[in-house]
Amino acid sequence: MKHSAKPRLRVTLALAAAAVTAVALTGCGSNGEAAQTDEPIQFFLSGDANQGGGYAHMAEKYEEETGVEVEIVDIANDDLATKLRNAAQANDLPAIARVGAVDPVWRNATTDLSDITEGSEIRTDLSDKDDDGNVISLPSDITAVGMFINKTLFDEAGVAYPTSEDDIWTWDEYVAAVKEVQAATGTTYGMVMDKSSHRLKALFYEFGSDYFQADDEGVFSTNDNTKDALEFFGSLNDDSFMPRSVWLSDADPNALFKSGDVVSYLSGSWQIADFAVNIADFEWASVYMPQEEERATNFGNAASVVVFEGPQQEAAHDFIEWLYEPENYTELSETSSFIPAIGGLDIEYAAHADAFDIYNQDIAASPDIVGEIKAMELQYGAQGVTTDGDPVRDETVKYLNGEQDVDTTIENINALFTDQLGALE
Amino acid sequence: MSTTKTVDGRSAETSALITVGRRTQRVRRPRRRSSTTFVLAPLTFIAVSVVLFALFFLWPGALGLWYSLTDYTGVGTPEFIGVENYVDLAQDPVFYSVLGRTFLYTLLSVPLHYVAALGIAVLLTNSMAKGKSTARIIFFLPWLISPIVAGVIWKWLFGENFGLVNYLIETLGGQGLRWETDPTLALVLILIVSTWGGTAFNMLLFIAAIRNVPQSYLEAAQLDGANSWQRFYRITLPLLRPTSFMVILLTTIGSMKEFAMVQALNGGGPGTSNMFMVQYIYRTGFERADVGYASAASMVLMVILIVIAVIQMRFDKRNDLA
Amino acid sequence: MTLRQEARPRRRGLRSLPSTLLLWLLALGFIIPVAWFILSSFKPGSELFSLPLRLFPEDWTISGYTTAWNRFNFAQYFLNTSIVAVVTTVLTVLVSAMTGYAFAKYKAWWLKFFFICVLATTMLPTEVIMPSSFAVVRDLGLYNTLAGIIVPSIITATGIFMFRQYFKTIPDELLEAARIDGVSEFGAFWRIMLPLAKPIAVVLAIFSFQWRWNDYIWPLIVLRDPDRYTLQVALRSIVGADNIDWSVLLSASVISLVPMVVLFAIFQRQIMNADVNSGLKD
Repeated sequence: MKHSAKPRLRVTLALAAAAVTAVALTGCGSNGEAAQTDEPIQFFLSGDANQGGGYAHMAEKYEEETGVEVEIVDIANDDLATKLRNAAQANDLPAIARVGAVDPVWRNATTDLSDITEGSEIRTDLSDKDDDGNVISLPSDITAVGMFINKTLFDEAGVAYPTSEDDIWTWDEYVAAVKEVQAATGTTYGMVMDKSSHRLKALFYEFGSDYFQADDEGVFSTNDNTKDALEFFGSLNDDSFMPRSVWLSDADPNALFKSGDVVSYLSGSWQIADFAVNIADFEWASVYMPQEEERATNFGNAASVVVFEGPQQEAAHDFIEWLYEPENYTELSETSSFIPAIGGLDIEYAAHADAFDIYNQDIAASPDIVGEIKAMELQYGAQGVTTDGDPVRDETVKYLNGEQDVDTTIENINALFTDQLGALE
Repeated sequence: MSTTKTVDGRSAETSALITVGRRTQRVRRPRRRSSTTFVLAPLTFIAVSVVLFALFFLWPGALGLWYSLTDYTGVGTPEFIGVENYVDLAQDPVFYSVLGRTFLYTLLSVPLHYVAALGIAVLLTNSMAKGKSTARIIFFLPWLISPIVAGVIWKWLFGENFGLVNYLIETLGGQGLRWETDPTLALVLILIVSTWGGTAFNMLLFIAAIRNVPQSYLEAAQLDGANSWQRFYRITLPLLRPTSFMVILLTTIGSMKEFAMVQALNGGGPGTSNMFMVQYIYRTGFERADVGYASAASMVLMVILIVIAVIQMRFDKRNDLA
Repeated sequence: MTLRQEARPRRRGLRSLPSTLLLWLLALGFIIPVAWFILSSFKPGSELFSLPLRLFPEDWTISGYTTAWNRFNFAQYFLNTSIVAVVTTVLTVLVSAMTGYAFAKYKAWWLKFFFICVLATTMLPTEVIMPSSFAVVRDLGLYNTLAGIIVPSIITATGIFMFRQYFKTIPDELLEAARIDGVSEFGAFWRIMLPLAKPIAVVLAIFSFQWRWNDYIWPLIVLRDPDRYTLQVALRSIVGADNIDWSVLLSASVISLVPMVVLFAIFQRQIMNADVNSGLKD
């Protein structure tokens, strides 16, 4: 029952030879050489396609105008930081990147963009600066935390919601109104919030919290209002007003809101484009953030744009300069429904302009603490320390799950920040 | 028929053995001929593996070990701090509760996966069930789906708030179950999903092994009056021992390392009640930029797994038929 | 054989009922989530989350598919992933067969030691040794090449283990007989043992192909240029920072599943019809 060995052997050897050749060929390619100047300029970013494809559109326009090709490389959000870090360590960085935060690993490989910001209305308070005061990143766009409601449900229940800045509701008023809608329409939940400290910050600021800041020795602490805010948030998470599954088990709040079974959703401005397309069953609306001690929202730059050193540095610089010209930046913002990071622009949103108005008003009314914390985070970045995780979120989750009480939670957060960030230089 | 067994012994054989009359020598003397023949051949066979192993496991592993003795944060230069990471690990109560949870999950999942895979493999090979080819493809499909997408699908099916299962339960008049906020139910869900996704792999291994059972044995047993259960239990199962051992060991190791699917399903929730070892390593190590600590925890995990593997290999040795 | 044949026609109808029922109940349990997944890819984005949940789409659409196909250069990704998968699989099967054979049929303390080393490779989770692995790949000059994904993936403890267990079930008499006949060790391996291991080789080939097809960690670490990307990397990019385009993700996932299903459908016959009694009967 032996198979005839020879043909089999030959086939196997041939396959092996082919495999080795293939490996050798694929191995010899342009590996590790930095991009040459005649190749397209690579722009690493994440989520452009999901947000209207503004950058892709502008790249096309730039090529039409100047003939220079800019290649938009859209990478998974979770992978972007890793890819850039690895590229830096292999000396193979792309020309441009739009990142969540400046990474200490490649911080020193960025170029100076001060000539672009000088004389412009670009919000440099949201830029990274290096030790010499050079501007090394530009804010890509602004996003802010905001409240969405299921307008159909509100109308059905006949409950009113604030439509002008004069009658902004407090948190208690808001909760009462939502509960009324819940009862009248038989909706399962009143509110969902994204599982992120970014949204929670808005709640903190509204309660008058100072957030978490370090003293001169690098020990973090916060004021009593933070405890009030946390306790309030805990009381909302009782599985009848807010579903516990979102913060405890990663249930998708976006999906929940879209299902129509939740009255309101605390998220942010980037959802507007998504809702415009993907909510067809009911009418939704943006409303003012509830206030408590303060009226506030958490806003900041969604991402930062950096230009890396390298043979394509100049061409990349030219593209970014062109992109941040008011006319072009306006077009970018309109395509992707961005809130602009350049002041004094008049953006004509394709849809839901009223929603954006509310966001702009909330941003304008926010207290200084928002900008201060943002600046603090940027400064830590400049020192080369960041928190890769989210201590505020993780400790809050434990608190909501009943694993620890509120004082321990705040203690832990302070301890974690002190441990990871230390003092500001 | 003479049954000669391989003897694990060393003997001073000479190549004169070949020229002497064959059969008699075979029965009388131990198997081993000259030891050089049996060094060169196996060595060449494993050569490529050794090189690849050294490059892609030994080297990074050694680096990892080095990191575990430093305070490396992923950037800059690591500083040697001795066994401080290990001491911190030993004193971390979260580490122990996570370890316990991971053990619990493994203890539950291994028998479940084994029985499911073996049962389905038997149904697909030895039984008289109809429609086996189609069924085979169906069982294989879940394994093709990436853990991220699988986590999402099951989250939709068993979502507490708007999952299909709870919806059906409530339509039938019952009360929806807390699949996401009850730690035990969440663990049950993890078990279901991992069985669903992992069965195809073990099932294929069993199918290949079952098909390897000589039909003559089974027919002889049938002639002797054994029913199908007895045939399975007495003949097939013992012959499946090497495969069973492999399936059990691989499933144990795989369960101890479970991460991607749980992360996608409920993020280790509710809260941190279902956080397993690799997620703990990831969270405390990489998210807190403490690569040294993460490396120390990974070394500890590796040692635990080696101990488990050695224990299981002992069992395999005792039952080894060959 | 004849005994079986006689028994079948008489009792088949009744006998096969319980096992058929059980088989199909299990199959149903397995396929419902998959059916949901596939059907959902044909729903428009707005329908995915609306209550009450429905299994079948109300509004069949292929918009997710068209968007996915246009957004991603699937042809290029299919090509890259195929090259990686095929080359790795061929090499993996060969290397695993040789190594597993050595473990199964030879005895030496250093073999046993190396076997434990190989097992140990499964005990370091890949996510965790990523930084160190990257350093190795970079220093070998394999950054941003497909070879950088192929070479590290050739060695697999599972594959080696599979062959080892399989070869262990093949009696040593066969090998002894070959040696007596004067066949060299390599000859014995190539001409006798390896052909016998065809079923397990096919199984490993399927596994290996699937692992490379769905692999995202190595491509994540090694690849930089988008034209070298593999499928999984492209799929992950659909997961945005704050929202996920579900209809595109679902459609793209279904597209990437199709080749694997086709391959399995073709090759599963190989396993089932493999030489069951090759050389093992007396």
